[in-house]
Amino acid sequence: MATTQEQVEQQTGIQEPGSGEQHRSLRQDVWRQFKKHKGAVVGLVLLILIVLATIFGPILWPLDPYQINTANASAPPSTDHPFGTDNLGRDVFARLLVGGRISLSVGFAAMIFGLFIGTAVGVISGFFRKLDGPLMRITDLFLALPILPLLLVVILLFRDPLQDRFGEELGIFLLVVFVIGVTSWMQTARVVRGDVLSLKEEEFVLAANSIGTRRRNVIMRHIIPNTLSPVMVSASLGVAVAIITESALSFLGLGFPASFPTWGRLLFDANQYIQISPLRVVAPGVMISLTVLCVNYIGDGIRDALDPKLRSQ
Amino acid sequence: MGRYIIRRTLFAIPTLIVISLIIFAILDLAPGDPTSQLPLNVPTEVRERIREALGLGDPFFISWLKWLKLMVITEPINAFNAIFGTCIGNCTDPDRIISWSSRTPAFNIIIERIPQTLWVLGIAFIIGILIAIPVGVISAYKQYSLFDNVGTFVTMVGFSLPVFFTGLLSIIIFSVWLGWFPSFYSTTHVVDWTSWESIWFQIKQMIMPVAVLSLFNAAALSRFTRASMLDNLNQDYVRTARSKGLRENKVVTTHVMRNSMIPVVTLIALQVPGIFAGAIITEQIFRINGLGQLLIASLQSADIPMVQTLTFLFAFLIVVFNLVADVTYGILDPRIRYD
Repeated sequence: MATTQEQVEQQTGIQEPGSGEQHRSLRQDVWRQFKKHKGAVVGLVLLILIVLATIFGPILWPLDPYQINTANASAPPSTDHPFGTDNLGRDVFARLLVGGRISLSVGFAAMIFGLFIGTAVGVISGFFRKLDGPLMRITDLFLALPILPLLLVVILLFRDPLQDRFGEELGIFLLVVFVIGVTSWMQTARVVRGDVLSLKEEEFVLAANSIGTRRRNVIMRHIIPNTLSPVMVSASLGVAVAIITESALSFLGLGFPASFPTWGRLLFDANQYIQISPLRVVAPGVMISLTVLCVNYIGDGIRDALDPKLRSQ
Repeated sequence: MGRYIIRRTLFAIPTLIVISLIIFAILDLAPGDPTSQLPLNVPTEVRERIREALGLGDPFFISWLKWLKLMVITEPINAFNAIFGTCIGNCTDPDRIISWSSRTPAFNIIIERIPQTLWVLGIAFIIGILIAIPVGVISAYKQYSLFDNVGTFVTMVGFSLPVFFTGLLSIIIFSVWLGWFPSFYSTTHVVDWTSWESIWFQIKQMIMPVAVLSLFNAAALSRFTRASMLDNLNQDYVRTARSKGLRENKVVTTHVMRNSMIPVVTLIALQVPGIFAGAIITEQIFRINGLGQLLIASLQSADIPMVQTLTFLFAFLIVVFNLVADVTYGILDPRIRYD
């Protein structure tokens, strides 16, 4: 790993003057540059806060998000209920915290799944010339699919069988993560393929081949670690796309069921009561937008930090 | 160039065939059956005949080929006959794709819905472009100025906020609180171009959906324009243009902008099919009965021929506009050589 990192530094030409006495690794250098991007740092801090709030919030917040209390339905904000209650008297704030758990886990799981497919397709088609043509045709084909209509169709058709198989919660979770992942890997695959095509002509790969490193190890140790930077940018974009897609599906009434409050589902349910309790619409909407905004800023920051032209300034 | 266009077009055909197969295969697995809604006292024999008439008895590949023939050969001929008053093929009793829920030809319903979608989304798209390009150009030219910082922030926000949230937020602010605009789009309103009141009503109900969508379209496009301008502003040819004494105005408009607009134009072409995908959500928020709303309604009533037709049309638009984007890129950028 150490040798590859030096290689990267030589490639990107970021040996700064005076680096002899105080050696910085690529990672430290990227971090230093990332910290200069104010939006990205604020985004990162906010995103960590949101993630922590959704993990620990439901434990700390005393009200039960599923507790129905029709005597106190559609109540305005008060000290007991900072965002009011919904039409069944459930605490909106508690539902928001629980909803965030699902929305964020869908976002991250779908991103990881999409990245996995994208990186695999990209590496295979970049490395094995015979598979390059067919795999890139498949990528083009996926890019030409009308994603949103197909997502809606697939979810509508397979929701019930999967829920019977895996239970109501897990079934829909797996389905949503699967369909978002399967339809969002194409850009990653293209970028990774481009990188692999140039990486495999590099001298360190030649060196690895010449000392008899197995092909699998060349890919795992030398190629994949070096494609990390485009993958990181795709990762941040992937989370944003996945969260928005999940919310859009739930908003159209075709995502998670009503018993399962994701941010998109909360927005969908609140839509009918927009006249009575507008805050119920605003709160989940702000959470979705804020999360996506943070993730996009982080992505911007990573892109700038990984750009050798900007970093050497 | 001509050969490239032909090759690219020929390649689009198998893509569309495979996509139609995917769409057809997914929907073929659908549990819905139009005969399940028939009254129970309908005899089995009649039921079988209805199934046959709907083409449900055939094996998968046969029914796919039949549908594909209807979709790409028969329906275009019907459209041609209808437009030019000609009579090619069977024009007295033509084969049509029939929607299960309304029992009328799918394309008739689609044609009814197109104007609503095009009115709102088309205008939003054009306004989006008109906002995005100047903002992107000025932001890049005055990089790190106040205008650029504010512009970059606003486009980042516009790009991150999902349309369904900005749409609902605008309803809360402008319909519920201020009461300026109606919260949903009345499609029964026929614009009477002689009456100011009627035109004003149409404008009022279009403002919110158009504003929300054009903000979203403009955000992505102006980020892209800015990046493309920045790529060109530091090039050697710009310095040459300045050093030979060209006016700054001319340097920016004829040299930098002309080169920066090449990728922007292709992005605009690529965004066109996205308008129709955006229609699905926007039409749901503002209750516009356009194509997107038609798709959702057909999905909910398991109207499979309608869903197949609409999804295939979306795919067709994507493939066509990808082709348009590639070809315009080749025409606009003389550095690209294909043969």
